Amino acid sequence: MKENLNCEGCERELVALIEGTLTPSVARVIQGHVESCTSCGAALEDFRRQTLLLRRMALLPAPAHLEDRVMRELLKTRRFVIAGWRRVGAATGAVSFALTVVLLANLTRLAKALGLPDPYVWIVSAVDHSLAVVSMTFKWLAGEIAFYVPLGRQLWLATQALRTIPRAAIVMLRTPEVQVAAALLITLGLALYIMLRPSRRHEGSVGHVCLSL
Amino acid sequence: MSDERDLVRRCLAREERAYRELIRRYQTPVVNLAWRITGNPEDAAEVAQETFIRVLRSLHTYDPERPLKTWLFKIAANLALDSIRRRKRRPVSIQDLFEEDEGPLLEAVEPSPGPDAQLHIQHSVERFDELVQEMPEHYQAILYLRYREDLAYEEIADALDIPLGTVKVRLHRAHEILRRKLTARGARGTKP
Repeated sequence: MKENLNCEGCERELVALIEGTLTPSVARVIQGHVESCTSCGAALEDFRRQTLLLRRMALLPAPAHLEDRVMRELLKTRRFVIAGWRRVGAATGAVSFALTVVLLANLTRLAKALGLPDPYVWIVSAVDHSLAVVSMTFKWLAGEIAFYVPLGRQLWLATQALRTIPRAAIVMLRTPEVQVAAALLITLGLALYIMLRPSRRHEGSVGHVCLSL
Repeated sequence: MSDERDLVRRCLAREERAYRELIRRYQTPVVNLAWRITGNPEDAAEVAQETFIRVLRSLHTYDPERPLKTWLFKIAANLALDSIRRRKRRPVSIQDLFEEDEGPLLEAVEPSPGPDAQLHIQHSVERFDELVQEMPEHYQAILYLRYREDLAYEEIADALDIPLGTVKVRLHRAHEILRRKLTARGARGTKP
């Protein structure tokens, strides 16, 4: 390199020489040329001065309230996302509630369309059979253990009376007027309960949507 | 570095105090890099704000093996370049740099005692910085990252998303441009 080095080639390496990024052998060659060449020596001196001035380059102060502005933006987005999810959750809850009411109201028709036995009939039958099993158990206990006869008899009579309640309820629920009234009462009850709670966290929740529905 | 990792971990845990600490720690370097690229303090402030919002939103994608500052600079540089593209700022030509005539600069940094000399040096630094600000933005960004932020060539290449060779070439060219400008000003300034 020493033989081929001219001023142009030397000047190209001067910044690297100041930065210390040259290999030791190349740095020695450049240093040797600089010492023997006035022009390259002056250029090296200029670059060194520039480097000193560049290290004192002016700084722009950070804008006032940058921190607050960034935080405000971040919190705004987070609140928006949370509110969005809350609305989606409330809407999903309201829709599923409405679907459940519709499903219950049309249970008999759906079962008929699918060729299944009337659900109200088999629900009544299931409840009736369960209570029959309980009452039979009490009767058996009363028959087997003499000590429990009075108590067993009372319990058997009570369960016999209880069997009439689900029958009456289901017969009543099969009328559309009662179904609509029950659905409205449940919806309004839920909405009022959630709305009247002393908390702003439930704004836009299931209660609000149910009430609007 | 462990302090930096701890700060990142706290930010990932959504600690508001950690968010604020990260912004306070890096706001000046980010604003200055944006300023060097956009050449406009208002744009730089906007870029810095957007940079921190993006950084804090996408911190989960940050590789903790890399310096956080370099990652911040990378995002800031990209946003600053986008800002330039949007505003279609006219780059200052080299010819424009020779229009003013404020006298020689380099003699001002010669060491000389006394408060007058200090004032003189300060004045020279200011005038020198004006010349730097008039340079094309890609040179300014490299000069700022190298000399003010003391970043290694590899880190500059990473932050500005350019090859290592380009960093070296641009750094050399930036010095060359400054030298030519300074020589021209010095020659004109010494004329009667």
